[in-house]
Amino acid sequence: MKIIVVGAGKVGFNISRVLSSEGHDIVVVDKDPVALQSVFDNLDAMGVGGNGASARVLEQVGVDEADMVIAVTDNDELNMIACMTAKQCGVRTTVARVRNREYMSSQPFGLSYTRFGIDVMVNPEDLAAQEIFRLIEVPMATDIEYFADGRLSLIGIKVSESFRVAGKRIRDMGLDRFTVVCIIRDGKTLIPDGDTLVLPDDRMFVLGRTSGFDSLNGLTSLKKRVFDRIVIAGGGLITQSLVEILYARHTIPQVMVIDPNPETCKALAARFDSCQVMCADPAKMDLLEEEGVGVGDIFVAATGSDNSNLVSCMAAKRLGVSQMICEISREDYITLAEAVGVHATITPRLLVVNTVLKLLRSSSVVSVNLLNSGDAEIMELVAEKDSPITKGLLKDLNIPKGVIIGSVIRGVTIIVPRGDTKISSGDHVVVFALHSVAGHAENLFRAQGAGRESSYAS
Amino acid sequence: MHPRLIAYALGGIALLVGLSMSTAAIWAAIDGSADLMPLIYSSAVSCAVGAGLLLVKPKGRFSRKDGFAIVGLGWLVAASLGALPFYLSGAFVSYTDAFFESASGFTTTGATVLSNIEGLPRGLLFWRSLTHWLGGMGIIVLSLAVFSILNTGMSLYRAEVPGFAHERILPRLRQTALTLWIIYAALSLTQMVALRIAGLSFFDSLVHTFGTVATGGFSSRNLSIEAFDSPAVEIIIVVFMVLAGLNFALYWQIVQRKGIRAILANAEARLYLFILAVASLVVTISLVSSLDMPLGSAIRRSVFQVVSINTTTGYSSTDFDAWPALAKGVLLLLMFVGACTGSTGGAIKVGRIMLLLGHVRRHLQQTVRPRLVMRTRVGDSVVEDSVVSDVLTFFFIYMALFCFGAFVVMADGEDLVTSLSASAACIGNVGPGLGSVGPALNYAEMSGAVKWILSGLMVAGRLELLAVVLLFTPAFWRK
Repeated sequence: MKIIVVGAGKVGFNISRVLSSEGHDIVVVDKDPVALQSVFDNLDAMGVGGNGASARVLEQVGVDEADMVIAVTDNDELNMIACMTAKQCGVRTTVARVRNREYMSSQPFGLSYTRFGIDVMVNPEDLAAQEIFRLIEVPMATDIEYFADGRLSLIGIKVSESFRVAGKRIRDMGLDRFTVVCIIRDGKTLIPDGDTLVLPDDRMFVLGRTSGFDSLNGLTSLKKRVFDRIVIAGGGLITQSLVEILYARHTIPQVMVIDPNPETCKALAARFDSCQVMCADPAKMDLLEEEGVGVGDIFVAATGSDNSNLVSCMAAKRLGVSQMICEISREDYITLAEAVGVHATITPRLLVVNTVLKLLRSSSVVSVNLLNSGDAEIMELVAEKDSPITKGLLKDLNIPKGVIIGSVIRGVTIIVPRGDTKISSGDHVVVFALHSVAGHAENLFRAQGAGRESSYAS
Repeated sequence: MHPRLIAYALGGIALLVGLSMSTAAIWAAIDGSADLMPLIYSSAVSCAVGAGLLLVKPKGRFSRKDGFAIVGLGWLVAASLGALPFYLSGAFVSYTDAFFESASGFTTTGATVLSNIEGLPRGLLFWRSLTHWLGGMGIIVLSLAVFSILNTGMSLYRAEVPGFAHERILPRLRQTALTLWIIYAALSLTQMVALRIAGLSFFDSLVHTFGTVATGGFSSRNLSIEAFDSPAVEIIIVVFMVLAGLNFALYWQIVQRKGIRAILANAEARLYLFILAVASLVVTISLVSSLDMPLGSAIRRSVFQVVSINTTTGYSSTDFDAWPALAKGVLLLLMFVGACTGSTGGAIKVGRIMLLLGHVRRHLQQTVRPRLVMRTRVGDSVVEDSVVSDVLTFFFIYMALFCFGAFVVMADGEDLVTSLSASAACIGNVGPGLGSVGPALNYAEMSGAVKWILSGLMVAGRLELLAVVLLFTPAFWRK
């Protein structure tokens, strides 16, 4: 597939990297020669200088042959115009990164941006807020993804020494109703089997019924706590989306936002009546202490600056906060955040890459998510008629190493697959796969002869 | 300040007053009564003054100062000219009394110096009530609708229309003014028809419609609404008093496809209706427990009186001065509350009280937690701090003027209740107070100086203080 990526910033770079490694032809358009240079240097992709919203530039990069345009510059309007222009040039799918929610909310007069030529709008801050919200809902998780309309969840848990499971083999854990699909140890993604030892500091991904996750609490010796309050450092776009989501719930939690900018504070206070807005540096210990921030709170750091986020998390940690969710944009800081005691990190950029990847997958893919910065994927796939996966018992099939069949959803029942399970066509299957074999995994679920994009045959 | 511009605008107002006055002369002509010539003379004088001033070529660019001067002086000119027929007819003992009556009319106060209203010829009675109707929606707003030359900005409109958050309902000021007057006229027409059906004569329907939709309070009867002793009439008047006390911009929203929900969606309107309900309940309980009044008539009397006082209309369906202290206390308190912003009512207004309550709550919290950022709200909408400061200033000036007025009446020899209620009733444009200025009595016994000061308070209250207070500050007149 030929894909034009407008914007060579962090988001554009990451999307290009993943897509290019999957074999797509990528052309990156950006005005900034420095950003383009890093595309040249690091990726197998073409870089063109110019304004991606300009029809002339788009023509120059062969927009008429492109299948998709992904506009992810920092400028909403430019992204939108780039998509509108590209659509008129005959591009099938257009994706725009749009940060301003005013453009995304449901429009009066039945207005729709699709009609203007923008097929999908992706809002990184919105995605980050949704992710944070999910983590708040399941406090023990470092990651959480839902499958099968929310009936199944994949939960990431950071193993600590106090856990009952620490130091045990997976087969000895008594996890009958759950599947451990992957373990991230020292930044590396491991595919576990029954003999794998779970060590402290591992991040363990467990797939199972959403309703059954309460029983995991005993396993991890983490108590499901009722939180008094959500304290958010920073009053930016992520915070605004998050507070909006929180307030849309039936039971509105107490929310406190701390931001040093008086104008931001005033705007927040104007928008959310019952939200407590403090105008101060969120890392200021005496303020946090005065406001009684401590054990009962969830601390969310979303100031937009990695440094501020880390420092404010450290301050919160000092005051006894145990649940800290931290926005981190530099991937190399994620381990640093974990060292500080942050229990979950959010990288908005990665979420955009995720969302865009979902769009690229064929119709048999219901959803896809990246784990560990794209090392591995977890997908919800539909088994097509006559696809290889339906040809026998799981133990008899030649399933490549690095692929794990997590759960099978057959109508209303959810099956934890064993060696003697047989998958029928129409089943939804949650599949975990290392990035290198993700294409193989997908092909297993496809009717013969209709394999994933040719580029995947490797 | 541009004297030519101001003079020209005042000319327009004088002409409007003169022309309106001539409609009163029609009644006098029909009756062939003695007030015909005074009305014609006054009308002629007003028109002449107006036409004369309109000959002045307006020069200079319109400024905020001009706006306040036009509104402040405009109302004084209107009241002065409006007093002419009263004075010339000899029905009033002095020009002071005539001016008091005229000011009370234009400001929709409804305080009177007449003890025998029924003795007045119909021409004068009509003019007396017509001043209410003109003043209710505002003579400036009317002139904005009529004279395009004044369409220079919001400052005139802002100075006259009650409230602190003025929104134009239409892009053009002239359209806005015209729309407000059309809504006002439609409301009046509806009420007039209703009263006519309820059995009132055409003249009485007209007079009481003017008194109601303008939240004025002038009646053609000595006993006010009590004279009709008709539940139907009382219900109609209560309903229209409540309607006149709502923000007129809401009617525009209702017309604009939002329907009746627009009223309930408005936080100020909700609180206004809530206050009416609670006050009626308290007064009913007070009447039943202290006076052994039957429940039915207690409800009828209390609802009417609470609505009448809270909307600052001032009609009475009974002599409430004879009520127990609790009931009178509630009524006195309501004289300060008033109706909604953007209505024809006077006093402080529910919106300002909501704002002040919200601000107090915010201030208390911020005292303990200085870093907490909060915004003052009226309902769901956030109010800028500059507006909060405006409202705080308004509240202070209002209370200061109220105290000043009360002391002046006390110095004249009246008792405490009379003084306090007279001052509150005048600055709040209510009309009748308690004690010697109760619904069964009038302001005739006050000395001349007191009448002038109370007239001033009425105009100040109607124009929401600023335009009038500014006229008395030397700095305003300095170049």
